[in-house]
Amino acid sequence: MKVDKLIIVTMFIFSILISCEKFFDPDQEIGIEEKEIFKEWYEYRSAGMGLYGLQQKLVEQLMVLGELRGDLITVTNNADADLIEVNEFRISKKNKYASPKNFFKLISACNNLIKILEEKRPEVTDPKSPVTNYDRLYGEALCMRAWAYFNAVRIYGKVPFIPESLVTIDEIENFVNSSGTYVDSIYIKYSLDGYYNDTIKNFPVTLEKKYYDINLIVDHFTNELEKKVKAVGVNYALNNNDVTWEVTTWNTYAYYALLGQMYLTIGDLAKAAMYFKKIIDDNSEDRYELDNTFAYSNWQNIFRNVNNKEHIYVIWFDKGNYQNNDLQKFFYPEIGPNKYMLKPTRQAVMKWETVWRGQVMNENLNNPALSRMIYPGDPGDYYRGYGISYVYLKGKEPFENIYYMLDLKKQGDIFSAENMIAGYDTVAWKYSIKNNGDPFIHDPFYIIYRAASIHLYLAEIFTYWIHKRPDGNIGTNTMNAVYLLNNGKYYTIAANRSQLGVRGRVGLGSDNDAIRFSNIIYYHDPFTNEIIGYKDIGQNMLEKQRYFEEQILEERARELAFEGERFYDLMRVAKRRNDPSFLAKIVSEKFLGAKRQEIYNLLLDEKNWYVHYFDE
Amino acid sequence: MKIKYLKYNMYKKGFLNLFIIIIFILARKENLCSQDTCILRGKVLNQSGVPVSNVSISVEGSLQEPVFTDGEGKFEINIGSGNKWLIINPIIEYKKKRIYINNRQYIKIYLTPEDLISGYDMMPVLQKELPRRNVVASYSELLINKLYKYNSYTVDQLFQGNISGINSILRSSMPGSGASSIIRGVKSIYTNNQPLYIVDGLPILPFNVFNNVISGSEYNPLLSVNYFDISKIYVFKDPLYSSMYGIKGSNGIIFIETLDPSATKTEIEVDYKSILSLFPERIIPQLNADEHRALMSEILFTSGKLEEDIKEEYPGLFYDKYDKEYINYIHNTNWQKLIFRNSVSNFISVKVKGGDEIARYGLSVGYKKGNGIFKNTSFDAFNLRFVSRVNIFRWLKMNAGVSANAISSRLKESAISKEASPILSSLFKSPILNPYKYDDEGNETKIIAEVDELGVSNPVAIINNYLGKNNSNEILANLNLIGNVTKNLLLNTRLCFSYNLLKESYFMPNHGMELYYDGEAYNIAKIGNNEYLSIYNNTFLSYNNKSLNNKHYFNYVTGFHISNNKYQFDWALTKNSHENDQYSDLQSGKDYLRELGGNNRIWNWISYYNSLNYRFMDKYLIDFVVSLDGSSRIGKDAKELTKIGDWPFGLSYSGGFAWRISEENFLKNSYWIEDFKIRLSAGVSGNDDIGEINKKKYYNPIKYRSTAGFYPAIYPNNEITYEKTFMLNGGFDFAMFSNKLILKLDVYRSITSNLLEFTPLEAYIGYDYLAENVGKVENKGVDVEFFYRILRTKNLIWDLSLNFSTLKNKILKLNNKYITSISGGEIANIEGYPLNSFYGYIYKGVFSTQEEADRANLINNKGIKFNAGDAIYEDISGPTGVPDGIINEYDKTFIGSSLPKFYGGIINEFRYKRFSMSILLYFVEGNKVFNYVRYMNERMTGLENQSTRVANRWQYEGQITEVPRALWKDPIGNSAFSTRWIEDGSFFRVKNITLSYKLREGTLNLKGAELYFAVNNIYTYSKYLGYDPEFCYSFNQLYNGIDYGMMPQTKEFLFGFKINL
Repeated sequence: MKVDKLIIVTMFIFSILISCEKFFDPDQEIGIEEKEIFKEWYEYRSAGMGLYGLQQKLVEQLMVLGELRGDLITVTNNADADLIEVNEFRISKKNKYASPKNFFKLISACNNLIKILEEKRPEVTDPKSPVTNYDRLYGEALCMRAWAYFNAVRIYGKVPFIPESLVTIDEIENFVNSSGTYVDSIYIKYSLDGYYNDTIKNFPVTLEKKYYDINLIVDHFTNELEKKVKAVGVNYALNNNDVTWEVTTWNTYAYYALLGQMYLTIGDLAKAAMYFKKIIDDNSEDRYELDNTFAYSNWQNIFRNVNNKEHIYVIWFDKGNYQNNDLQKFFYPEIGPNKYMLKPTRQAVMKWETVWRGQVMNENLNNPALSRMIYPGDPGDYYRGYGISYVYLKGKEPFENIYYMLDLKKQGDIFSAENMIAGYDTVAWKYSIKNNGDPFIHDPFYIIYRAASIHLYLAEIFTYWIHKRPDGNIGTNTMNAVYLLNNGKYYTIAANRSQLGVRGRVGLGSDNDAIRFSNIIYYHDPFTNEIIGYKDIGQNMLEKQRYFEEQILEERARELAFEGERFYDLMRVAKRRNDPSFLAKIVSEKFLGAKRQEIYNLLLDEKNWYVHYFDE
Repeated sequence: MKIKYLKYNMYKKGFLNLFIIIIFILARKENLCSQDTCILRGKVLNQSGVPVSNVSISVEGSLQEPVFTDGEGKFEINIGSGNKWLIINPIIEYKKKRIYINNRQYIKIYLTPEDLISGYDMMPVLQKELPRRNVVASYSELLINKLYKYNSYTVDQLFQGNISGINSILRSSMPGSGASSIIRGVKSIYTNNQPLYIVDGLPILPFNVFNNVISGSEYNPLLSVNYFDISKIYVFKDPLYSSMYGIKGSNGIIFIETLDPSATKTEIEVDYKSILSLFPERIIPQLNADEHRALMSEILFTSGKLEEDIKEEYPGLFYDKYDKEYINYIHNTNWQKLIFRNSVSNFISVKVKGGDEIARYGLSVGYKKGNGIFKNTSFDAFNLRFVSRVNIFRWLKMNAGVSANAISSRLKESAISKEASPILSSLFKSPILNPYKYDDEGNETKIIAEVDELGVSNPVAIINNYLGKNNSNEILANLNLIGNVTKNLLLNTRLCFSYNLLKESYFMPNHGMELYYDGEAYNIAKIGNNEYLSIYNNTFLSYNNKSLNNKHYFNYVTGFHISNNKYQFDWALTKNSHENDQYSDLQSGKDYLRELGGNNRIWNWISYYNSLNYRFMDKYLIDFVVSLDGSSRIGKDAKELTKIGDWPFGLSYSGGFAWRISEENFLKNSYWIEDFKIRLSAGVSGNDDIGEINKKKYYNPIKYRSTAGFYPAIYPNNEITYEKTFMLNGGFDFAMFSNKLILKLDVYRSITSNLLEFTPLEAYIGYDYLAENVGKVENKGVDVEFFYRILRTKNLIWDLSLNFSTLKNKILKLNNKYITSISGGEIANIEGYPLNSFYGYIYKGVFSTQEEADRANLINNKGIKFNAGDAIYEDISGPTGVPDGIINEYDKTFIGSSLPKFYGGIINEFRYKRFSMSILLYFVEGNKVFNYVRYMNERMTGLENQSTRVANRWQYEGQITEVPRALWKDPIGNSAFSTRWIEDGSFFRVKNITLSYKLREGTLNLKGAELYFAVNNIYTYSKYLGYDPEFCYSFNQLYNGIDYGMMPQTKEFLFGFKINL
């Protein structure tokens, strides 16, 4: 009968569907299922690119936490409550800049890729096998993970450490919440002068099991990077005409910079110097010496285009490819989507406006009290300051008479000068310069490492670093610091390239306007540059070093303002001096009234330098 | 979990034991008529107690000729031995009856007039037909033959006020927008809460699948059903029905049957309707030109801008009469009057039915042309439906049908889209301005005025030049074969195919409009395409047996549903094509400003179901339903599910019992009781709308530079499963005086467990959330339906119907507190509170004096102090759990739920000779609404015009008022989301008054004709401050109760006729 057939047919269909995997687990056309990927190289490469995509999401947080807690940036009346919390060092867990979620998304994606590479491409763990693109990708993932942990621990003070072997939520939770304490004895070669026989810290670290502090993080990841990384940076055969590709992903120099930065942070000057020198002393490629590529008015091009003569590692953004960030929105006046929530502090602006060029001083070394300023020079760091790092804007219109205004100040007419810029907003401009201040394009790249920063790091190390000469005597390196900071003379690595030095590159490196490592410190009036006092510190090497270290820090502010490192620079120096008040004083200066004292007191406690996200 | 299981088991066992005990005790009492011949005498009466003659009475299954009642309505019939069924068949005017003799020797039979509902009317209950009085579960019926007179584009607009247990909210007065209909409460946070609609056996596209690009427009899948075609609508609220559709049924089921080709003679019906919708009666009172000028200068004064800068930025406020532009700033325009209109809509529908005993058909063609009360909005729908019924063999029948629709609309945006909303722009636009430009001579032209420095779109530009288009097409085809395998065994299979397509596009023009995207774009074009394809099969075997000694009846159905669904969505957007607004296509925009996206979904469902109905002696009615469901959305390791092969299957089950007390010995002779039964049912069903990808380990694409990368997207959950609802329903049906009075009352309580949640994960896990089934929500309430024929004389009939429902919703368990930001406010899901509640500050007024503010010493989350003239918010708590003097997150709390406490309708119907009149009153009470339009219209944070309510703003020390001071950009948060914007959404409305007149049969050679005239929304009582208290932005329950400035409901006048040829 037909009915029987009907029953049979329908039952047949029914049973087929029941047994069919496609019925209960159809392939969804959106997203990429794991079972479909990791079969060929380009899929691995895409997983690697995914890491950079996730890293882009960290940029706002890095900038806000690295700068707003420092002395160069402050909030405007438009700032939202989260930014105000950051500014005042009372960051609650709900604060959107406090959440370590984006760090751990990146870490977890790194873990995923590292695990997959170790499983499917076991040769990456074999140091003897020839280097392939998989090794380079492995190196990138390891660098990225180390970078993420290092940045997170600088912010939070301590972070949970999640090895890649943990996959499920249960495994991670069990690992993190397992009882007991983590005890390790790390031999930290932290010495003020980098001289190995003079190690000042060597202690066992006792911590909750859950967290790694900065010492453990640096210890773990420097070891890991030094041991596991065979090579870094995939060779971009497809993009070989575009030299910018290399520095927008992890590359060998960025790998050195990360290692150097980690060592510097915990005070291992020798190791740090070794890695930094690998970057700037490398003559094999035509890069990373402060030559005239970005000299004078070309300095601003550092923020316009990615270039491997200055940039070591930058996070790329591109509006055309839907990669935008909010950096300009923080700073730009309220036009379009921009919010003007953050602005440069007066302290920051003063760093550029009270720099003097071409001053002539009649110095009386026998009696410094008689030293006189013959010609005060011209005020203003024109190549890095107004119009480049910051600008005064009314709506979209910039203030045009900056030279005249500074000149009025030089004449002593501060009132008129201030009146000229009344009604103008002070605007950080580094993140608007790429698109010439177009209020609608929000894709400035974000610099992680660049050559000037490495030079200044090295100058900082040389300021203190003592080394043992072959003859058994102790030698200092302070002159190298002076060269790097000023005009680069005698620190040129190749005869055909002229090292200009950090200040020299923007016209401040001549003998007249150089920063000197001298016995006498003169105090100047900021607006007229007249000498108003002096201090003789000739007998005290440490005091001289500290003075010079402060000058390097000032130079870092002028050179690297708003690039996200300011607070960590202050932290590093304050830690080196074992003097929290150093940081507290500088940062609290930007506050007015009772707030200044309040913040000062708050920052005397080192604990408050961290975002208390992982505190119970 | 274990405890819950125990409870279920206890319920289950308890019911079973109860059934068995009751059956045994009551069965023993029965006395059988022992003689071979038993004579039954009786009398047949009508409702008024008047005897009815000539009624045929016969014994079911007997071969003897029927007897007829005499002039006094009396009869005598030999019923033989045993208890049998009497068939009472009045020839005219009254409905048939089938009565169980139940050991009676004398019986009184009251007849129900044909215009009333009778318990012996058959109704389709899922896969079979049952007399109404034998339905164990709770349901409601929409009497479609009365409702065709309403103004409605989709059938969901008819529920309101007509039936109980369904909270129906009309979305807007835009034709075709439909209504959100939620049966017995909200059961889920993230999944669909709308019921399952089954049209001619096919479950239609769920409401939340399609995506729309125009703000305020949402695709209503019911547009595929022309409501003139509908013959039956039942709303199934009971767990017994829900579990029949397993993991699709827990939101309730609405069953719709369209053209019924049961007639063999040719019938032609023509329906025509014309509707006039009026300009809104209540225009929101706005500040006039002078008042707005004063407000603007007050606000600018607080902006901290220098005076010369203000003059430069806003020159229009300072022109004197010698300025050329002066003429543009001296008006007093009432902008609201420029966007609304009176609109006329027309419907026409022609139905033809006919055929013979072998083949019958029905054909319907309809056209609707609707116009919204916003100028330049319209709706055009063309519907075609063809159904046929063919008796292929004696044992095999075939039903086949196909329907096609083509619908296109012209729409405007809601207030969420600030730049293009007719309502917001007409409220905000300063009255000092004029819609049109002036030429150099100072004469008004017809050129639309561009946006001035005050920066609000010209409402006339929105009306004239904004283009919002929406085109949808649906094709449904279904083939149904019914074979009688044996006398009692029936095989039925239905194969359906449906295809829905929605194309939507808008163009936001340049001229006269604000810039979009924070000023980046001067014009925008966007399109969105949705496509859905579904194939569905339902096959079942039904076994029917009613012989068994005349005492027992049972029906057993076993079968399966299987469906395969594919969905695709693509959208693209482009900005800044040529400024002249003539290029509204996607290609013309700037290439670097293009955006596109989309979505693909595939899901499958299979369900094996069984249902058993058992009836004993017309007294005890027992139903059982079990279904086993598999779904492609459920994770492979879902807990509590049975694995068949490799795949998990969920069990849905329910049981129901009804006891007809009126057939018990102590009541069986109270003939005035037509029917009195109590019902109890309980069961489990589910909702598998949990998304397809939560169980998958997949990677999301992400771009870096010009390459595409990917990263692990979510933490997959292999244990993800459907949301499960257990419902307990108890009630009674009471009918008196042969259905002159009917009372149905149901009490229910449902608990939905395994609620889908997106639990935030610890930051170090590296994923945002985990989709898991944790929460639990409870709904309980009472549904009452009441009917009473108050009066019936020869010429006059007065019927009263009443329906009433209460609702209580509460989250019993939730892993987390979920706060969702929406435009203008926040919605919270917190344990112990109703689902999707409003969440904000408690507003307590305004600091009248500085001293008062100093005493309170409150600061906001930015550290700014609240001063005189600022809002007073309650400082509820702080990080340590005590008030801390800071108004921030810790002070936000539950500030109201959009769910009503109760709602219902009252219908009075009068018939006098050929005239009839019906009055429908609707009320809803206890729901809170967020007046977003008022929030935008009273914030006083910029230069937009505002409502006259702000005239009372705080302006001087000591002023006592409820409205805070005007403040540029509101840095202090005076307009924050708080109880200030939450209003009582209760209203009472005379929803419809219809007057109709039936022509005498044969007039103009017509078989029948009816003319009618109706007024809708003629009176509304409400304290609501907006246009109208009824609105619903979305079918998504999250947006329930938020007035996002949709097209308001207004008064309507309707004229229509129906002609039968």
